[in-house]
Amino acid sequence: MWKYIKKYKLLFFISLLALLLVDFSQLLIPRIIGQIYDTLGEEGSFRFFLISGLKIAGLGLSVFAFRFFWRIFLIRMSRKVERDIRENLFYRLLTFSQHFFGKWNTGDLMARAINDINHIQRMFSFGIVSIFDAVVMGLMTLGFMLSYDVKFTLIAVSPLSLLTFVVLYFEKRIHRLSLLVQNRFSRLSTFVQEDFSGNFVLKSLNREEEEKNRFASVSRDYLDKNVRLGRIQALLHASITFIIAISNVLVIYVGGKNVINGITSKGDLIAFLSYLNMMVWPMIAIGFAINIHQRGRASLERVEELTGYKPVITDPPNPFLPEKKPETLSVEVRDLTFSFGEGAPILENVSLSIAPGETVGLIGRIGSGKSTLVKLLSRLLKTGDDTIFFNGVDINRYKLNDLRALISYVPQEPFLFSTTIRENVAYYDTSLDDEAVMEALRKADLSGTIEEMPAGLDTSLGERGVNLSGGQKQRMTIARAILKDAPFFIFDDSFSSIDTDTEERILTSLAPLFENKSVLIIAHRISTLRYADRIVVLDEGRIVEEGTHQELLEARGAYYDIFNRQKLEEKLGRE
Amino acid sequence: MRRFAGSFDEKKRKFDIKLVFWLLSYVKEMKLLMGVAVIFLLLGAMLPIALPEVIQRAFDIYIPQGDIHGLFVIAGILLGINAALFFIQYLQVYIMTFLGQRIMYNLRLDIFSHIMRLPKRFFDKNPIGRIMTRVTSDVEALAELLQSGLVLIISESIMLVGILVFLLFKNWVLTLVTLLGTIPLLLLGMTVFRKKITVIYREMRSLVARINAFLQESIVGMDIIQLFNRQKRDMKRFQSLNESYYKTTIRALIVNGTFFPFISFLSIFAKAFIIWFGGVQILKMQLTTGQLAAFLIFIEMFFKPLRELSQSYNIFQAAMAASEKITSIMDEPESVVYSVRNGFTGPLDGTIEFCNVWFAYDEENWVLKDVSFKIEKGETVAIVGQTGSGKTTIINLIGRFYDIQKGKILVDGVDIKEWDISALRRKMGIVLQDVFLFSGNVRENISLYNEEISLDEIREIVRFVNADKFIDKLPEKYETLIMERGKALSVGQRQLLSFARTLTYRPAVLILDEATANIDSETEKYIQEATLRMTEGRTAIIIAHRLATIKHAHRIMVIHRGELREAGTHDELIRRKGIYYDLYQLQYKDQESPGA
Repeated sequence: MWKYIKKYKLLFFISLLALLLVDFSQLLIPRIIGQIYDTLGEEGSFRFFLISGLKIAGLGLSVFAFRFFWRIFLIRMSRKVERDIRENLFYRLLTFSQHFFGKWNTGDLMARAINDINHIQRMFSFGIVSIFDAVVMGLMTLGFMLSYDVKFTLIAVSPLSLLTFVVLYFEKRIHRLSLLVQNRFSRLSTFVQEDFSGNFVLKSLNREEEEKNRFASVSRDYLDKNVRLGRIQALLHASITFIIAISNVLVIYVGGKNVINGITSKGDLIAFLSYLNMMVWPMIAIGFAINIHQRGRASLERVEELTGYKPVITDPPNPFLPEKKPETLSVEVRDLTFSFGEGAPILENVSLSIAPGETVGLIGRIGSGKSTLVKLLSRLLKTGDDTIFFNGVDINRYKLNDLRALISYVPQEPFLFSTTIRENVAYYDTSLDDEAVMEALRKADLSGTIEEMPAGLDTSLGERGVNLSGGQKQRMTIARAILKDAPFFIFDDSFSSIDTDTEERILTSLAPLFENKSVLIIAHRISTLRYADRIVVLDEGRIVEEGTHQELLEARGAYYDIFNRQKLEEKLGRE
Repeated sequence: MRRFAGSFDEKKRKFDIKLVFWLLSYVKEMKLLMGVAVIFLLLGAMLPIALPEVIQRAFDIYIPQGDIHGLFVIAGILLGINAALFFIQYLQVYIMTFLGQRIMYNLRLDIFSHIMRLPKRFFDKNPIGRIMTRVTSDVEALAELLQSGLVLIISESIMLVGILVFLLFKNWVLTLVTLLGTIPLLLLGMTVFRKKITVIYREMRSLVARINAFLQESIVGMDIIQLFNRQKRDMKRFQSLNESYYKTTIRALIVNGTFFPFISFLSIFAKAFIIWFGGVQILKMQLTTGQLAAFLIFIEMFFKPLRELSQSYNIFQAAMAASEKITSIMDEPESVVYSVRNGFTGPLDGTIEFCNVWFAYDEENWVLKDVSFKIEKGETVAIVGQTGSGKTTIINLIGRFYDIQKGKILVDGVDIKEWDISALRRKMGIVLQDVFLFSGNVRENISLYNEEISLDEIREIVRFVNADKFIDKLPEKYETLIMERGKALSVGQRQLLSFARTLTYRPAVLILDEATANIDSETEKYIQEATLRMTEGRTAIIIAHRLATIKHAHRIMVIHRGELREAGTHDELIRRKGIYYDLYQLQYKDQESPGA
């Protein structure tokens, strides 16, 4: 915990000091009240009451001021810690590869980023206050009490020692039950998520009533755990109050006897009682602190599990540093075999090269390994050494940023961010002016559509903005890649929602740009591949055919079949 | 502009009242327990008021008189009251927790079963994540209100009124003067506070939503971020969002940090005031020391509820926001299929007839155009067509997952709108392409948690559909847990599993959407065998991707662009050289020679 606070030592200590002063001022008040009772019979004057009243009001002001200060400082610190943790979490996520995101589901990551960080913030603010307040207030009160009468204090405090046992007894149980409650809540969420996702299956098998009953038993379980937790918390609070009450009663009885016997003054007894009442809050605070800390610590563990994860793909220790960013790129894949873990190979002995100025087409069925190849080329997935080379250098030797600066990528799923069109297109270089952005959009055959929009380039996309069609989104991602203008272009089945006429226009307008670029076009449609200098056919992770469109047609192999099939499809489409 | 703002506010307030009534309807169900809880609440709030009174007696009567026995009695009474308080407090919190949880349980169940009965359309449109939170976190926010907020509001209000009455009764001059000195300040503080904090909290909630959206989007689009080397810039954007959230929390902090100490300042200020004013009264012999001491304790008790009440304001606001979202989902109309009263209950025999059916998912985009056909009992019909031709829609319509716009669908000669939905679906076995698996074990995924189905029965069915071949190889066979939606199982295995699941419910009609994905040849053989076995003796409608299925079918229907274009046996249709002929070349011919 300290490592998070360290940065804000000053805030932390100032707030503790302020808290100390609050407690101190609060403790002085009963002393003044006690004085009033003592002087009452003798020299009570209007002036005296006025002065006492003013003293208390003054202390009230200082309580107000210091309480304000500790809150401002400590909670500010906790908010800073919260901000740091969230920032660090995001920062870490940015370094993780697809190896990580393939395993963790988004819901879980979000839960940790939201709920758990909330619990942590509470631990660093009210958690700390509760503990510190309890200890300081407790000790100070104890000190004041001792200064009145040692024997008395011992009598008063003896029942309080029971508290230690009570707290110890409850702490473990509360921790265990809190964990159970959190766990049952996850179970409930999972249940709901599955049933809503699988809603259709359940309805078709007529399971609505049964699922309701099953849900009832899951939520019943959650209810039981919550009630058990609630009961034990109730017992804890009631016990604390009762124990304090016992010590109150003891003080009144023993103290009253002392007053009668003339050992203690009435004023002292009343002051003493006020002090004892001040023990109530610290004692209850301990109960709070237990809760907050148990939850906070569990959450911190969950977040640190993420932030402590080691990224699989990182910059190499002694990276290859090109003197300047290369203008052209020759790509070579040498005998590449890849599988996830121990699974069956996704790619087997794949060799492929793309020279600057060359456009290579890649075709194959779903699951033939095309997308995996793209991910390996851009190091989104980890590949072995000496399998892929850019300009003759193993890609594992490049720094990640240098490597990715060489690739203009158009993804399969046209993923756009919920921001303006300008920001989405000028995504790589935000400093580009509108003219450059429009030019790229023109090449992607989208400028007309954008110009028709009332806000033009400032139109927002996503949930709160305009929804583009699949084809428009794809063209937008093409424009985005054009503006990156890297020496190596990858189109990962990026024309699937674009009709052939538009596709032709786009690819024709890109021809000058591609003059000295290396280009890899992955497609399902033969029409897209017409523009390729060379075509590679991938099947079950292996390259089965390679050649120009004409050569492959003449070979009458897999490519020829696909070609015929698509011709038929076109024919059907016209019917 | 001002008028507009005013009317908007008013609208909001009306809505809030509706929400309160809706919540109260859940409380009403538990009125007995609620009554008990209120009694305990009253007791728990009133007994502490008696304590200072008893203590005052000790100071004013027994101590000055030197009556040690009397003092002992007082101590006994105090102990008794506190012991009673112990039980009351314990029971009160316990009952309230139980009550709150119980109400949430009922609420959650209602929301869940309501959502389950929403039409398929609803699920097509709304992301699961958002629907989920209605049952989970939104209900939690309400639980917080019911459990701690409500108790707090009730008990502290009672406490407040009780103490006030008591104080007035004891010494109305002192009370009134004290109140006059502090209440106006308090009210002023509260008004300013409430106004400011409402705005800030709203801003905080919206910022949190933005941070979450950004985070979610970044996680999903991480490959793009990395390929475009955007890490630094996105980090900056996240930082700035995070920073503005931080700044807003600090603004909330300053408002809270002023207000709460202000209340405690007021309570000390009131004390100072009482000492001065009370001291004067003592000098005039209008007040005793004991009374003054008791008064001081009371005034402390008077401010505590005020402090607590203002602290629960946030809980209250969050709960209101949550219940608004919940009621809006509860206002979504349930699927009409559940509103059929005294529907036809079958039993389902197995003839299906489409009479001039027109259907569109939205408005006028017709997916099916004037489709008519009749499938006899026991017949196996294969539906073929290109992607997007409307094949899957036909399946959706037979189970009445959508209602058609024009025409009629008859099952056993009865319009499906007149069928009792559970009687209709019970005997209809639907196997989808994308098999949905739940996170239980293999057995549970077959029986769908129906415990009446014995393991022997399941074994028999599993053997019948050839699923035993792979299940027997699993580490714990039927008890093997299906992890993460069955990622470890192949498409073919999942298909077999769903065959077993469907047959377990003994359907009279089998509706099957064959998987298109590549399946290894061994599993493929098992699936084909199982398909043939399953169609025997029952009506079967299959969206066919396998040549074997087509050839086995009694009849083939060709759907093209939402229309039924051709129908007949495989040989007939091939001879006709129409659409089917082309489709056959395209989709099925390869399967003639395995391995090609």
